Amino acid sequence: MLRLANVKLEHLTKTFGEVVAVNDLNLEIKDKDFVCLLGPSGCGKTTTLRMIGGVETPTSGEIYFDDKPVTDLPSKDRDIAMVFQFYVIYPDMKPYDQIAFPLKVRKFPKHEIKERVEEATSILRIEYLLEKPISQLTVDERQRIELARALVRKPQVYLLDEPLTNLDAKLRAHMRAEIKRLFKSIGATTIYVTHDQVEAMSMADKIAVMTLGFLQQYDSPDELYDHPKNLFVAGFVGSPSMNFIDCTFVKEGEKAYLDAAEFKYEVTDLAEKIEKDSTSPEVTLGIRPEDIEIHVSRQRNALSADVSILEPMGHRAIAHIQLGGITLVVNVDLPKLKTGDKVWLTFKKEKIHIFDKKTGASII
Amino acid sequence: MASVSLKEVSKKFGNITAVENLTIDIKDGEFFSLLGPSGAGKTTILRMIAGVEKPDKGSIYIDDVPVNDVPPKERDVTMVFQSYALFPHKTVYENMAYPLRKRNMPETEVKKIVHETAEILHIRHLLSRLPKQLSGGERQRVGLGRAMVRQPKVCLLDEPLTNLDAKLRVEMRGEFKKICGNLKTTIVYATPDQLESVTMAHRIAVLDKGKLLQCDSPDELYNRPKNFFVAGFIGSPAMNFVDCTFIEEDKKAYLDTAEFRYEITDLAEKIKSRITSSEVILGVRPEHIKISKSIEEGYIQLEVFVSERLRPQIIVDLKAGEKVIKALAPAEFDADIGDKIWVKFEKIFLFDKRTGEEITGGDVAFG
Repeated sequence: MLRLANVKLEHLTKTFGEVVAVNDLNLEIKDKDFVCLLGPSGCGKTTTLRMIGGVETPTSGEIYFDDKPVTDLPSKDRDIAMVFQFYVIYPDMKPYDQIAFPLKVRKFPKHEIKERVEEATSILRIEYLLEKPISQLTVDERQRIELARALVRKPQVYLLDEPLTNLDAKLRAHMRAEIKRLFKSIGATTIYVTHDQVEAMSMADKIAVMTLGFLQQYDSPDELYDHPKNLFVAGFVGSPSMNFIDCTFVKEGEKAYLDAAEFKYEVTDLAEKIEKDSTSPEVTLGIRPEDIEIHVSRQRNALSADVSILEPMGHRAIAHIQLGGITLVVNVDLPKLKTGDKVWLTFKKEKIHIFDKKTGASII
Repeated sequence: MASVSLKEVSKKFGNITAVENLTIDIKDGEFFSLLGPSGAGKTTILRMIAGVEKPDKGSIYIDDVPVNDVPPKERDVTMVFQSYALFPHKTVYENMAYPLRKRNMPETEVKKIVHETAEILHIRHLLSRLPKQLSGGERQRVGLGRAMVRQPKVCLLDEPLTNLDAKLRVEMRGEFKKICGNLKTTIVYATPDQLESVTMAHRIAVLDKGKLLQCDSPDELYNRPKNFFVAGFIGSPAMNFVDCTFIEEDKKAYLDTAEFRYEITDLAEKIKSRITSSEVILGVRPEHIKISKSIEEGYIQLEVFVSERLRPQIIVDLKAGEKVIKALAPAEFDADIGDKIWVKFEKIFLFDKRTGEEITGGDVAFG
């Protein structure tokens, strides 16, 4: 059976010359968890993975596997397996030998190699291609061989670096589900690096969102989606992105509003919290595309707007709605709208987000 | 603006047929998309319209005038590539002015056109910057701007969004559609990404291996795909396919799979009149699968392979024998690997396994 591990990063920092790639990162990855490191290029996710893998040495800080410090252990002694986006395929080796390679190098007995290769290939359902020449394999078959080669090692921790980046959209959607199922079913600790929030959201138990070397939030996909801690996370997670509207918080008598120039949005019930947690009256109202309701007739408290662009997608559509100078992106279920239609908008009150414009921190 | 027609156009490179007997009519002012996987012939078609590639057979018309023998620079067609090929040492303004100056246009005129085009593309504030100071999306607009200053009759776009990251691509799609609507030119847009085509184009030609499979509006392609390839290519997540045998028993008709039997007695006559054998493929879109956690009349039981919480939607992968069927569930749906759930198909498609042709005409829905 697999041996499993917790991975803990304490005050991990890595600098390349002047550039701080990873800045004081603290992260605990629990046994059997599938964790994604998510962020745009330059956020430090790959550097973090490489430090966990032992191919990059931290400038400061400590890495633990199961409470045992491994920071100074060379990569080969860490009991990890790495899977990359550019798979290392030896062109004149048959798939069987490709998969068996890491075991042969480690001088495993023949019968055990056979057993492990058979187990891995049966999990991945690729027994049928073991004898095929590599040149005849499709991209996803090669990807599965790469995965099988990682599986035979039965390491403590799997590290995956954007393994799906080179696949086309259809195949990526397919492999996404396969990889999630695979690592869930073998119950392995998995750390997966990606810049694609779709991959992270659909696969991970927990996601560490990073930008410019700093950890922004470490939470479950649902928590990130429903309760982003700041503007960056709110904008990065979800597609199409959350709509942001710059507003000023104003009080008029007993009532409080977010004043967005084009409209005023009443927030009397939230006033106390906004006042307490904001550093200035300048705030950003955030609302996801599915939390805006479109009405074709006038409603009480609804904002009048125009449909400027429709992007139909079969069973649903994305509508770009013009509200004076503000463009809002809205998910529509049944695309009965037409470009140029006049519509009325309401926001699902319980779904709105309010951020401090200056600090970016979430208030509501 | 201009119309573009291809009549029975073929093109071979050595032994490889890049485009085979292709006939399409692109209307004046239309946003027309060429859609297909790599090797479909999209780029070759664009290059033939531009005049940089000659068809082996057939004719190309721009505004009903045959142009087979008209050199590229006289066709009044421009082409934008996925790598925008901007001059790195020239500012945005200089880049956009270049094609006009090359034609000896007076400088006052150049200035006017560059500024007008920059206005439409929302890049006026970028005119004095260098390409390296621009984001991917901005660079892409400048590339388009340089093509548009010439005010061509036809603008050919070869995967202009392919090099942008996923998130930016989603944003640029909407913006691009808006810009193109303002440009008043005929657009032929090649892409392997069906989402770009269906969200932006008036009509789409779906191509595979040089052959035209269907040319229709996005709605038609989604609701009434004519064959297996189009059905699987249009829509995301993609349509599910399950191999079935059509059988009749005791005056009832079924689609029989290894995993389940689906009654379709009402459709039996229609199916029988249109299939070439009893081997058919059942097609169901993920959004047409209704999911229930408890047993209900007319539902079939399947096991959860894995589920993906891709908010606001949940994709549930279900095991059907060796195959996996994807279904869309609402955000509140929660299921673990191995759970048994019940599903019902609200709309189905059927394909003749041998010919790949769609049999139902896209009108088979169950309440």
